[in-house]
Amino acid sequence: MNISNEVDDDTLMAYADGELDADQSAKIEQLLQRDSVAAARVAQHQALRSRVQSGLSAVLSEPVPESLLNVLKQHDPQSQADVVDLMQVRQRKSAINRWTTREWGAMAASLIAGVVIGMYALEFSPAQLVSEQGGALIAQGTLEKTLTTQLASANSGQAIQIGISFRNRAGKYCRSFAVQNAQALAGLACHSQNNWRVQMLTEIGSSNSGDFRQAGSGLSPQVLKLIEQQISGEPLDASGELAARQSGWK
Amino acid sequence: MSEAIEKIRGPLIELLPRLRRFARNLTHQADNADDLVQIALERALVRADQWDSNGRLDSWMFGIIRHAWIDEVRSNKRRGVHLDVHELSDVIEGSTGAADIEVLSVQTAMAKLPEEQRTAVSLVLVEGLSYKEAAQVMDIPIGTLTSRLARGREALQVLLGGTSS
Repeated sequence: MNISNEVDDDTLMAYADGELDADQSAKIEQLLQRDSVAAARVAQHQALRSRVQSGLSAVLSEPVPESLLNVLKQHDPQSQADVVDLMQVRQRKSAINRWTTREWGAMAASLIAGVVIGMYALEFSPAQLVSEQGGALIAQGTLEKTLTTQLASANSGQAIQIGISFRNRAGKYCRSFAVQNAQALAGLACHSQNNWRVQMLTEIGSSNSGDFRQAGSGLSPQVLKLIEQQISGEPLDASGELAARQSGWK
Repeated sequence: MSEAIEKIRGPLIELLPRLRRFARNLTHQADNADDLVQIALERALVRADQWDSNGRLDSWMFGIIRHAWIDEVRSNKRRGVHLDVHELSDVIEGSTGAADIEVLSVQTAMAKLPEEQRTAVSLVLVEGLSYKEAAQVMDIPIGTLTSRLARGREALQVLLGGTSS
Protein backbone atom coordinates (compact mmCIF):
# COMPACT_ATOMS: atom_id res chain seq x y z
CA MET A 1 0.00 0.00 0.00
CA ASN A 2 1.31 3.41 -0.88
CA ILE A 3 0.39 6.08 1.61
CA SER A 4 2.35 8.79 -0.08
CA ASN A 5 3.54 9.32 -3.62
CA GLU A 6 7.12 9.43 -2.46
CA VAL A 7 7.41 6.54 -0.07
CA ASP A 8 5.82 3.16 0.48
CA ASP A 9 4.18 2.13 3.70
CA ASP A 10 6.83 -0.50 4.49
CA THR A 11 9.42 2.26 4.60
CA LEU A 12 7.27 4.37 6.92
CA MET A 13 6.77 1.32 9.11
CA ALA A 14 10.51 0.64 9.16
CA TYR A 15 11.10 4.28 10.08
CA ALA A 16 8.58 4.06 12.91
CA ASP A 17 10.34 0.92 14.16
CA GLY A 18 13.75 2.56 14.10
CA GLU A 19 14.99 0.24 11.35
CA LEU A 20 16.34 2.86 8.94
CA ASP A 21 19.91 4.09 8.94
CA ALA A 22 20.75 7.73 9.61
CA ASP A 23 20.61 8.81 5.97
CA GLN A 24 17.31 7.11 5.26
CA SER A 25 15.84 8.46 8.49
CA ALA A 26 16.89 11.99 7.63
CA LYS A 27 15.16 11.69 4.25
CA ILE A 28 11.96 10.45 5.85
CA GLU A 29 12.10 13.20 8.45
CA GLN A 30 12.29 15.78 5.66
CA LEU A 31 9.36 14.14 3.92
CA LEU A 32 7.30 14.12 7.12
CA GLN A 33 7.71 17.88 7.40
CA ARG A 34 5.78 18.44 4.18
CA ASP A 35 3.64 15.33 3.84
CA SER A 36 1.00 15.31 6.55
CA VAL A 37 -0.50 12.03 5.35
CA ALA A 38 2.83 10.25 5.72
CA ALA A 39 3.40 11.94 9.09
CA ALA A 40 0.01 10.76 10.31
CA ARG A 41 0.81 7.27 9.14
CA VAL A 42 4.09 7.21 11.07
CA ALA A 43 2.29 8.48 14.15
CA GLN A 44 -0.28 5.72 13.70
CA HIS A 45 2.44 3.08 13.46
CA GLN A 46 4.12 4.40 16.58
CA ALA A 47 0.87 4.69 18.51
CA LEU A 48 -0.04 1.11 17.65
CA ARG A 49 3.39 -0.04 18.70
CA SER A 50 3.16 1.53 22.13
CA ARG A 51 -0.45 0.42 22.52
CA VAL A 52 0.33 -3.19 21.66
CA GLN A 53 3.35 -3.19 23.89
CA SER A 54 1.61 -1.81 26.93
CA GLY A 55 -1.42 -4.01 26.32
CA LEU A 56 0.65 -7.18 26.21
CA SER A 57 3.07 -6.57 29.04
CA ALA A 58 0.96 -7.06 32.16
CA VAL A 59 2.82 -10.29 32.89
CA LEU A 60 6.01 -8.35 33.52
CA SER A 61 4.66 -7.07 36.80
CA GLU A 62 3.52 -10.48 37.99
CA PRO A 63 5.72 -12.50 40.33
CA VAL A 64 7.70 -15.18 38.55
CA PRO A 65 6.46 -18.63 39.62
CA GLU A 66 8.80 -20.59 41.87
CA SER A 67 8.52 -23.53 39.48
CA LEU A 68 10.38 -21.58 36.82
CA LEU A 69 13.01 -20.31 39.20
CA ASN A 70 13.51 -23.85 40.46
CA VAL A 71 14.38 -25.07 36.97
CA LEU A 72 17.31 -22.72 36.99
CA LYS A 73 18.13 -23.33 40.62
CA GLN A 74 18.19 -27.11 40.48
CA HIS A 75 21.14 -27.08 38.16
CA ASP A 76 23.14 -25.17 40.71
CA PRO A 77 25.58 -27.20 42.79
CA GLN A 78 25.61 -24.43 45.38
CA SER A 79 22.06 -23.21 45.36
CA GLN A 80 22.84 -20.61 47.99
CA ALA A 81 24.59 -18.67 45.29
CA ASP A 82 21.24 -17.88 43.69
CA VAL A 83 19.76 -16.00 46.60
CA VAL A 84 20.92 -12.63 45.39
CA ASP A 85 19.55 -13.24 41.92
CA LEU A 86 16.20 -14.44 43.21
CA MET A 87 15.86 -11.32 45.27
CA GLN A 88 16.65 -9.29 42.22
CA VAL A 89 13.91 -11.06 40.32
CA ARG A 90 11.41 -10.33 43.07
CA GLN A 91 12.42 -6.72 43.08
CA ARG A 92 11.89 -6.63 39.37
CA LYS A 93 8.23 -7.38 39.89
CA SER A 94 7.70 -3.69 39.89
CA ALA A 95 8.40 -2.14 36.52
CA ILE A 96 9.30 1.10 38.25
CA ASN A 97 11.91 -0.33 40.59
CA ARG A 98 13.54 -2.10 37.76
CA TRP A 99 17.01 -1.63 39.07
CA THR A 100 18.19 -2.73 42.47
CA THR A 101 20.15 -0.60 44.81
CA ARG A 102 23.19 -2.67 44.03
CA GLU A 103 22.90 -2.04 40.31
CA TRP A 104 22.29 1.65 40.89
CA GLY A 105 25.35 1.77 43.09
CA ALA A 106 27.35 0.19 40.30
CA MET A 107 25.92 2.61 37.78
CA ALA A 108 26.58 5.61 39.98
CA ALA A 109 30.15 4.43 40.45
CA SER A 110 30.64 4.02 36.72
CA LEU A 111 29.13 7.46 36.10
CA ILE A 112 31.51 9.03 38.54
CA ALA A 113 34.40 7.20 36.87
CA GLY A 114 33.13 8.57 33.56
CA VAL A 115 33.17 12.07 34.96
CA VAL A 116 36.84 11.88 35.79
CA ILE A 117 37.69 10.74 32.28
CA GLY A 118 35.33 13.01 30.41
CA MET A 119 35.14 16.09 32.61
CA TYR A 120 36.97 18.50 30.37
CA ALA A 121 34.63 17.72 27.49
CA LEU A 122 31.39 18.11 29.41
CA GLU A 123 29.45 21.23 30.08
CA PHE A 124 27.32 19.09 32.38
CA SER A 125 28.91 16.12 34.04
CA PRO A 126 26.60 13.36 35.27
CA ALA A 127 27.54 14.34 38.83
CA GLN A 128 26.11 17.82 38.18
CA LEU A 129 22.89 16.38 36.87
CA VAL A 130 22.16 13.71 39.43
CA SER A 131 22.98 12.72 42.96
CA GLU A 132 22.62 9.36 44.56
CA GLN A 133 20.15 9.12 47.43
CA GLY A 134 19.38 5.80 49.01
CA GLY A 135 20.33 3.88 45.91
CA ALA A 136 18.29 6.03 43.53
CA LEU A 137 19.61 8.70 41.22
CA ILE A 138 17.82 11.99 41.85
CA ALA A 139 17.88 14.82 39.31
CA GLN A 140 19.46 18.00 40.62
CA GLY A 141 20.45 21.47 39.44
CA THR A 142 19.64 22.37 35.86
CA LEU A 143 18.27 18.93 35.12
CA GLU A 144 15.84 19.09 38.04
CA LYS A 145 14.72 22.56 36.99
CA THR A 146 14.36 21.56 33.33
CA LEU A 147 12.29 18.49 34.16
CA THR A 148 10.01 20.52 36.40
CA THR A 149 9.51 23.61 34.27
CA GLN A 150 10.50 23.15 30.63
CA LEU A 151 7.92 22.24 28.01
CA ALA A 152 9.08 20.28 24.97
CA SER A 153 7.91 23.20 22.84
CA ALA A 154 10.43 25.46 24.61
CA ASN A 155 13.49 23.29 23.98
CA SER A 156 15.02 25.66 21.50
CA GLY A 157 18.31 27.04 22.73
CA GLN A 158 18.21 25.15 26.02
CA ALA A 159 21.11 23.04 27.22
CA ILE A 160 18.79 20.21 28.17
CA GLN A 161 16.05 19.13 25.79
CA ILE A 162 12.84 17.50 26.85
CA GLY A 163 11.67 14.57 24.73
CA ILE A 164 8.56 12.58 25.50
CA SER A 165 6.42 13.10 28.59
CA PHE A 166 4.07 10.33 29.65
CA ARG A 167 2.47 8.55 32.57
CA ASN A 168 3.97 5.23 33.57
CA ARG A 169 1.95 2.25 34.73
CA ALA A 170 2.07 3.41 38.32
CA GLY A 171 0.48 6.69 37.20
CA LYS A 172 3.66 8.74 37.74
CA TYR A 173 4.76 11.30 35.21
CA CYS A 174 7.97 10.51 33.37
CA ARG A 175 9.96 12.60 30.91
CA SER A 176 12.80 11.71 28.60
CA PHE A 177 15.57 14.25 28.14
CA ALA A 178 18.80 14.82 26.26
CA VAL A 179 21.80 16.84 27.36
CA GLN A 180 23.57 18.51 24.46
CA ASN A 181 27.11 18.05 25.63
CA ALA A 182 30.18 17.28 23.59
CA GLN A 183 29.45 13.83 25.00
CA ALA A 184 25.68 13.86 24.59
CA LEU A 185 23.60 12.17 27.27
CA ALA A 186 20.06 10.85 27.09
CA GLY A 187 17.89 9.75 29.95
CA LEU A 188 14.53 9.17 31.48
CA ALA A 189 13.25 10.48 34.80
CA CYS A 190 10.01 9.83 36.65
CA HIS A 191 8.46 12.15 39.19
CA SER A 192 8.25 10.74 42.68
CA GLN A 193 6.89 12.77 45.56
CA ASN A 194 9.06 15.87 45.42
CA ASN A 195 11.86 14.86 43.15
CA TRP A 196 12.68 13.31 39.80
CA ARG A 197 14.13 9.84 39.93
CA VAL A 198 16.42 9.24 37.01
CA GLN A 199 15.64 5.79 35.63
CA MET A 200 18.35 5.88 33.03
CA LEU A 201 21.19 8.16 32.05
CA THR A 202 23.21 7.03 29.12
CA GLU A 203 25.85 8.44 26.81
CA ILE A 204 24.67 8.62 23.24
CA GLY A 205 27.99 9.09 21.58
CA SER A 206 29.43 11.81 19.44
CA SER A 207 27.56 13.63 16.71
CA ASN A 208 29.17 11.30 14.17
CA SER A 209 27.37 8.26 15.43
CA GLY A 210 24.04 7.14 14.05
CA ASP A 211 22.48 7.28 17.47
CA PHE A 212 22.86 11.01 17.69
CA ARG A 213 20.17 11.73 15.15
CA GLN A 214 17.54 11.18 17.78
CA ALA A 215 19.34 13.02 20.54
CA GLY A 216 17.29 16.15 20.08
CA SER A 217 14.21 14.37 21.29
CA GLY A 218 16.04 12.39 23.96
CA LEU A 219 15.25 9.20 22.10
CA SER A 220 18.31 7.04 22.28
CA PRO A 221 17.40 3.42 21.50
CA GLN A 222 17.93 2.44 25.14
CA VAL A 223 15.75 5.27 26.43
CA LEU A 224 13.10 4.51 23.83
CA LYS A 225 13.06 0.90 24.94
CA LEU A 226 12.65 1.90 28.56
CA ILE A 227 9.80 4.25 27.63
CA GLU A 228 8.09 1.45 25.77
CA GLN A 229 8.40 -0.76 28.82
CA GLN A 230 7.00 1.82 31.20
CA ILE A 231 4.47 3.88 29.29
CA SER A 232 0.80 3.56 30.02
CA GLY A 233 -1.33 4.79 27.14
CA GLU A 234 -0.17 7.54 24.85
CA PRO A 235 2.55 10.15 25.37
CA LEU A 236 1.29 13.52 26.60
CA ASP A 237 0.55 16.10 23.94
CA ALA A 238 1.39 19.77 24.43
CA SER A 239 -1.73 20.53 26.43
CA GLY A 240 -1.32 17.40 28.54
CA GLU A 241 2.25 18.39 29.27
CA LEU A 242 1.16 21.88 30.29
CA ALA A 243 -1.57 20.52 32.56
CA ALA A 244 0.87 18.10 34.17
CA ARG A 245 3.30 20.92 34.86
CA GLN A 246 0.55 23.02 36.39
CA SER A 247 -0.37 20.18 38.71
CA GLY A 248 3.24 19.90 39.83
CA TRP A 249 3.63 16.54 38.04
CA LYS A 250 1.44 14.87 40.62
CA MET B 1 29.29 -27.64 30.06
CA SER B 2 28.42 -26.62 33.59
CA GLU B 3 30.54 -23.56 32.86
CA ALA B 4 28.22 -22.74 29.96
CA ILE B 5 25.25 -23.12 32.30
CA GLU B 6 26.82 -20.84 34.86
CA LYS B 7 27.23 -18.23 32.17
CA ILE B 8 23.55 -18.08 31.27
CA ARG B 9 21.86 -18.86 34.58
CA GLY B 10 21.86 -15.32 35.96
CA PRO B 11 20.88 -13.69 32.65
CA LEU B 12 18.08 -16.26 32.25
CA ILE B 13 16.67 -15.40 35.66
CA GLU B 14 16.62 -11.77 34.62
CA LEU B 15 14.94 -12.66 31.34
CA LEU B 16 12.16 -14.73 32.94
CA PRO B 17 9.53 -11.97 32.95
CA ARG B 18 10.09 -11.33 29.25
CA LEU B 19 10.18 -15.02 28.40
CA ARG B 20 6.83 -15.41 30.16
CA ARG B 21 5.46 -12.45 28.23
CA PHE B 22 6.57 -13.84 24.88
CA ALA B 23 5.20 -17.30 25.71
CA ARG B 24 1.91 -15.84 26.86
CA ASN B 25 1.54 -13.78 23.72
CA LEU B 26 2.25 -16.91 21.73
CA THR B 27 -0.15 -19.23 23.56
CA HIS B 28 -2.76 -16.88 25.14
CA GLN B 29 -2.88 -19.01 28.25
CA ALA B 30 -0.95 -18.29 31.38
CA ASP B 31 -0.64 -21.95 32.41
CA ASN B 32 0.39 -23.13 28.98
CA ALA B 33 2.79 -20.25 28.70
CA ASP B 34 4.59 -21.01 31.93
CA ASP B 35 4.82 -24.69 31.02
CA LEU B 36 6.29 -23.64 27.74
CA VAL B 37 8.85 -21.41 29.44
CA GLN B 38 9.75 -24.28 31.74
CA ILE B 39 10.33 -26.64 28.80
CA ALA B 40 12.38 -23.98 27.03
CA LEU B 41 14.52 -23.35 30.12
CA GLU B 42 15.23 -27.05 30.48
CA ARG B 43 16.19 -27.28 26.83
CA ALA B 44 18.36 -24.18 27.12
CA LEU B 45 20.26 -25.59 30.08
CA VAL B 46 20.90 -28.84 28.26
CA ARG B 47 22.17 -26.94 25.23
CA ALA B 48 23.81 -24.10 27.09
CA ASP B 49 27.09 -24.69 25.26
CA GLN B 50 25.31 -24.01 21.95
CA TRP B 51 24.54 -20.43 22.83
CA ASP B 52 26.75 -18.02 20.94
CA SER B 53 27.81 -15.61 23.64
CA ASN B 54 28.19 -12.88 21.00
CA GLY B 55 24.49 -13.17 20.19
CA ARG B 56 21.47 -12.07 22.17
CA LEU B 57 20.33 -14.48 24.82
CA ASP B 58 16.73 -13.25 24.56
CA SER B 59 16.60 -14.00 20.81
CA TRP B 60 18.05 -17.44 21.39
CA MET B 61 15.46 -18.16 24.07
CA PHE B 62 12.58 -16.85 21.95
CA GLY B 63 13.63 -19.28 19.23
CA ILE B 64 13.67 -22.16 21.73
CA ILE B 65 10.25 -21.15 23.08
CA ARG B 66 8.85 -20.94 19.57
CA HIS B 67 10.15 -24.40 18.69
CA ALA B 68 8.86 -25.81 21.98
CA TRP B 69 5.44 -24.37 21.16
CA ILE B 70 5.45 -25.88 17.68
CA ASP B 71 6.39 -29.25 19.22
CA GLU B 72 3.72 -28.90 21.86
CA VAL B 73 0.97 -28.16 19.37
CA ARG B 74 2.13 -31.07 17.23
CA SER B 75 2.32 -33.61 20.03
CA ASN B 76 -1.01 -32.54 21.46
CA LYS B 77 -2.53 -33.16 18.08
CA ARG B 78 -0.96 -36.60 18.08
CA ARG B 79 -2.32 -37.30 21.57
CA GLY B 80 -5.71 -36.08 20.47
CA VAL B 81 -5.63 -33.06 22.72
CA HIS B 82 -7.23 -30.16 20.97
CA LEU B 83 -4.92 -27.24 21.31
CA ASP B 84 -5.66 -25.11 18.33
CA VAL B 85 -4.59 -21.52 18.65
CA HIS B 86 -7.73 -20.22 17.06
CA GLU B 87 -9.73 -22.23 19.53
CA LEU B 88 -7.77 -20.68 22.36
CA SER B 89 -8.18 -17.22 21.03
CA ASP B 90 -11.44 -16.72 22.86
CA VAL B 91 -9.96 -17.83 26.15
CA ILE B 92 -8.14 -14.77 27.33
CA GLU B 93 -6.43 -15.41 30.59
CA GLY B 94 -7.44 -12.81 33.13
CA SER B 95 -4.84 -13.82 35.69
CA THR B 96 -3.72 -10.26 36.31
CA GLY B 97 -7.16 -9.53 37.71
CA ALA B 98 -6.95 -6.08 36.21
CA ALA B 99 -10.28 -5.09 34.76
CA ASP B 100 -8.47 -3.15 32.15
CA ILE B 101 -10.54 -2.85 29.03
CA GLU B 102 -7.64 -1.56 27.01
CA VAL B 103 -5.47 -4.53 27.97
CA LEU B 104 -8.27 -6.95 27.19
CA SER B 105 -9.00 -5.40 23.84
CA VAL B 106 -5.36 -5.52 22.79
CA GLN B 107 -5.06 -9.13 23.95
CA THR B 108 -8.25 -10.10 22.16
CA ALA B 109 -7.18 -8.41 18.95
CA MET B 110 -3.78 -10.08 19.15
CA ALA B 111 -5.39 -13.48 19.68
CA LYS B 112 -7.28 -13.11 16.43
CA LEU B 113 -4.14 -12.82 14.35
CA PRO B 114 -2.79 -15.84 12.52
CA GLU B 115 0.07 -17.34 14.49
CA GLU B 116 2.81 -16.24 12.10
CA GLN B 117 1.69 -12.60 12.28
CA ARG B 118 1.25 -12.77 16.04
CA THR B 119 4.78 -14.07 16.46
CA ALA B 120 6.20 -11.29 14.28
CA VAL B 121 4.24 -8.64 16.21
CA SER B 122 5.35 -10.13 19.54
CA LEU B 123 9.01 -10.18 18.62
CA VAL B 124 9.24 -6.73 17.04
CA LEU B 125 6.60 -4.57 18.71
CA VAL B 126 6.52 -6.16 22.15
CA GLU B 127 10.00 -7.59 22.65
CA GLY B 128 11.74 -4.88 20.67
CA LEU B 129 13.82 -7.11 18.42
CA SER B 130 15.10 -5.69 15.16
CA TYR B 131 13.61 -7.04 11.94
CA LYS B 132 16.79 -9.01 11.36
CA GLU B 133 16.77 -10.58 14.81
CA ALA B 134 13.07 -11.42 14.60
CA ALA B 135 13.54 -13.00 11.16
CA GLN B 136 16.32 -15.17 12.61
CA VAL B 137 14.14 -16.29 15.51
CA MET B 138 11.39 -17.27 13.08
CA ASP B 139 13.80 -18.86 10.55
CA ILE B 140 12.40 -16.75 7.73
CA PRO B 141 13.84 -14.17 5.30
CA ILE B 142 13.62 -10.57 6.43
CA GLY B 143 11.17 -9.71 3.61
CA THR B 144 8.77 -12.37 4.85
CA LEU B 145 9.09 -10.99 8.35
CA THR B 146 8.28 -7.45 7.28
CA SER B 147 5.25 -8.55 5.28
CA ARG B 148 3.92 -10.57 8.24
CA LEU B 149 4.56 -7.65 10.51
CA ALA B 150 2.81 -5.23 8.15
CA ARG B 151 -0.21 -7.51 7.78
CA GLY B 152 -0.36 -8.11 11.53
CA ARG B 153 -0.23 -4.39 12.16
CA GLU B 154 -2.91 -3.69 9.60
CA ALA B 155 -5.20 -6.28 11.17
CA LEU B 156 -4.61 -4.91 14.68
CA GLN B 157 -5.32 -1.40 13.46
CA VAL B 158 -8.67 -2.56 12.07
CA LEU B 159 -9.53 -4.63 15.16
CA LEU B 160 -8.55 -1.96 17.62
CA GLY B 161 -9.80 1.01 15.64
CA GLY B 162 -9.90 4.35 17.34
CA THR B 163 -6.14 4.80 17.42
CA SER B 164 -5.01 8.33 17.04
CA SER B 165 -4.20 9.02 13.43
